[in-house]
Amino acid sequence: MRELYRALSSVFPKDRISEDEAVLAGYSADSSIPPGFSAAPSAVVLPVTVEEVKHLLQIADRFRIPVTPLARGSNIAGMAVPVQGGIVADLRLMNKIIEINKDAAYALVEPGVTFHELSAELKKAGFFCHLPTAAGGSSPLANYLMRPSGNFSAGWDPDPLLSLEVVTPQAGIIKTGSASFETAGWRARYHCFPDVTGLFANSYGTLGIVTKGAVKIFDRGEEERLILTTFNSFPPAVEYMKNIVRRNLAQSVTFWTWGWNVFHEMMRAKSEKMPPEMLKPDQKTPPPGIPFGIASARVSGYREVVEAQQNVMIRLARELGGDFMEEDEAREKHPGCYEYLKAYFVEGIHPKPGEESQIRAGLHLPGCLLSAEPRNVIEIEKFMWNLAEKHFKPPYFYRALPYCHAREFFFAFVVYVTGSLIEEREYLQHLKGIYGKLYRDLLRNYGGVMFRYRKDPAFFGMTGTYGELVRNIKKLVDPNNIMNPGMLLF
Amino acid sequence: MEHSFAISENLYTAMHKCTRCGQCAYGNQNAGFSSLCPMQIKGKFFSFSAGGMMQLARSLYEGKAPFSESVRNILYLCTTCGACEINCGVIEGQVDLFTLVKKELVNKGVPLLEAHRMVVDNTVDKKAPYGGRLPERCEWLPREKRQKPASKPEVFYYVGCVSSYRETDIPNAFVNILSKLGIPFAIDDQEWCCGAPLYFAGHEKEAREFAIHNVEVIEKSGAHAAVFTCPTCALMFKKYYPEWIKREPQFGVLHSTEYLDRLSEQGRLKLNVSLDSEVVTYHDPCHLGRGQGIYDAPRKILQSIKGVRYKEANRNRENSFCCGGGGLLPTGFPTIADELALERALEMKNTGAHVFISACPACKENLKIAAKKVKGRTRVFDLTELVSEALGS
Repeated sequence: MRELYRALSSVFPKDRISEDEAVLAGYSADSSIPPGFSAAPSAVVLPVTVEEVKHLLQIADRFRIPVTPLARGSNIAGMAVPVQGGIVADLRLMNKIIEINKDAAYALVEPGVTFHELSAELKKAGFFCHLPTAAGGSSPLANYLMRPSGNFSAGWDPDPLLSLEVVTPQAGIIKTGSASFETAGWRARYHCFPDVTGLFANSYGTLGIVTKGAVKIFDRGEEERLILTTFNSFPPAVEYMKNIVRRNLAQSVTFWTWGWNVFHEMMRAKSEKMPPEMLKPDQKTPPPGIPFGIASARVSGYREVVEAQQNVMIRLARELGGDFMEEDEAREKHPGCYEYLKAYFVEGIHPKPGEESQIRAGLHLPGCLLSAEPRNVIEIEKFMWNLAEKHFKPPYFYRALPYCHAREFFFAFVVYVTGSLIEEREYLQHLKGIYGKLYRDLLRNYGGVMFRYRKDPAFFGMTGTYGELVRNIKKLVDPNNIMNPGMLLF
Repeated sequence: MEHSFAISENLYTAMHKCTRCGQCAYGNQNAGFSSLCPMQIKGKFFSFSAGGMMQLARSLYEGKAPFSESVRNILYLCTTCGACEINCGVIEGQVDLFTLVKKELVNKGVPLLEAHRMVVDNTVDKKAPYGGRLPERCEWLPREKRQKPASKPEVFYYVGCVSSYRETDIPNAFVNILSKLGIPFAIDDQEWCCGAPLYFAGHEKEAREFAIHNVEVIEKSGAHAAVFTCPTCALMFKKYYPEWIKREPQFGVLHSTEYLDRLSEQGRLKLNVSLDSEVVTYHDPCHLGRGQGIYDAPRKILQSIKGVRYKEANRNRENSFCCGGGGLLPTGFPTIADELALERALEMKNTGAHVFISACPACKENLKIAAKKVKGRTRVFDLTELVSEALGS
């Protein structure tokens, strides 16, 4: 270890490297790590250049030491926790917005840039970026590499990543997309050769460290509008969302069941007390005055077109048995919900903090996140309600949205655990047991795919020859498996 | 599993719930999501933030990291400004958790920094954190103004240590206000330090004795309310004393800005004298704003003073940036405290103001040092000083 630290010290100055136990302990867990299982690294470094990252990986590879990359560290799944020790590469000081290219509509950013920082800069330029439900202090680049759901998922075509700069232990510094040509710029994901950007998406830092990336940004348009429609059940809402996205009426739309509505009111009131209606046994039926679900759509562009789009959307909703909710009505009757959705979908400001982490008095369970075909997502909703009624304690609720146009839907079923960690220890164990098998059941029965890898190697094993190919690529770029081995992907 | 210290169920849950989202270090959209955490700005590593501290606390609790001087050096960079508590959406009680860990450092025999050791020793011995031969506690008040305490005081003025010994213009101004308004008040040279330096140095047990004593002194005066020009003292009385003395004190606790606002609403405070036309900005003291939720009262008073042209600093109210004067930082790490104060002073200067106002003697002290480094003639006052002037002679 002495020798390793000496080698690292030849690259990183004193104030950007540490082996101090107290500093290391700060990287030892996130909320997904159960009590008693925190794991500190042996060293942490704060690179500021791609060259430093390259030297870091060369040294780590030479010493066969694991490296856990961390952009801003925001995570609820232990993806950036050094569970196998080694070195943490904390990229928070690589925090430059290198370029906002309004002409080609992309931003070139480093991994330490936060959504707060990027959103604020883009707003000045008349643009916005895809906002996920992760908190505003998290990294757009790292987040996009995990293909998040969010306020613009429908219009990704296919996702927000363009060109990347990546460092791998064996290949050194590589550039993907148009940036792989010295003079072509960062504008494009594809050129005339195989797409390599996609290789690093959902690789969770197991193949290399992304040090720079071009991400799509979106023109705000002349008019931006939030269009709210209400539905009394899920199937017509899916039909509505599918149609308005396929027919290019909206850039995105999300369906939120009534629990979210109450939850957003709690956010607004900064309340930490769970209202009694959230705890009622019948979670399917909304309390009086609250619709079963609200679909929030973002529409922007030329004023006349937006007006026409809105009219068609209202007609479609009504034809499907839904209704239109005027902004004034939403503001008056559901102010928390309205403010949240307006900020998130229209202003492009990340509501602060991330909505999934608002109830201070309770615990949050990441929930069941998956993607599936539109018709299957309707079956999955039924399945999840039944499962929840049998096994979960209220409150639980979900949101769903067309993801990557409307070919597939993102579906997130969330369970809140309202007691303390000590009170709810047994219940949490019970939930863990159910979740352990759930994803395989949903894949087998409904074709629903785990949205984000949950450290379940058997799930990766179900991918057949695809998995074989990816494992071979891994051997090429990281033969000693030093890159984030704690993910249990390889 | 053996655990290295006892912890409440709330704090236990809190330290396991942090998602490391980093929100604790940022303000909200009203401040353009600016960085607010002094510890994170200076420390660079994630560990130097409330989120990092949560993970560190877990490791200490689980016995995986030792209680050490390194832990101490991270903890004492925290100014207890509370930005993390306001901005975190997941947990609360961050500062309480840090203070619990400080207490455990003491229990485990980890030495305090020498400067902090002196603060603790002085406070215990002299009932004030300062060393050397201290003047009598009430010597800030000129002899000619000293009078017998009112037999039925309306308020007890708890002066606090910084005002009693260092920023003496503040208590003089406040006493001047009370006298001009004909408000019978009491002060007492038997007042002790509020105990904050002890509490924030992990010596809660000793701080409790100070609470018992101070409450006794004030209750003996017969006043129905105690007024504080120091927000930290007021915070101790409001937040910690009831738990420490195991009952509610028999008097209300008001910071001077709350009290002056109340007097103004009652029509008793009339600020008739126009001050020289000045662009003025206000610095929210952390323990007054985020600590007690008092943002409007000081602004209302300030803007009611004739001649004042008020400008708001970029980071304000719940998004205010700490001046570096809190949490024993200036004693332990004076250079860092000065750098933070300079950052704040430059931001205040950017409003176009030449007069910086605060409502805390520690903030005034720290900002005064920084103001000297800012180009142009810049003066720093406590709000009470401006009010005293606006009352006229």
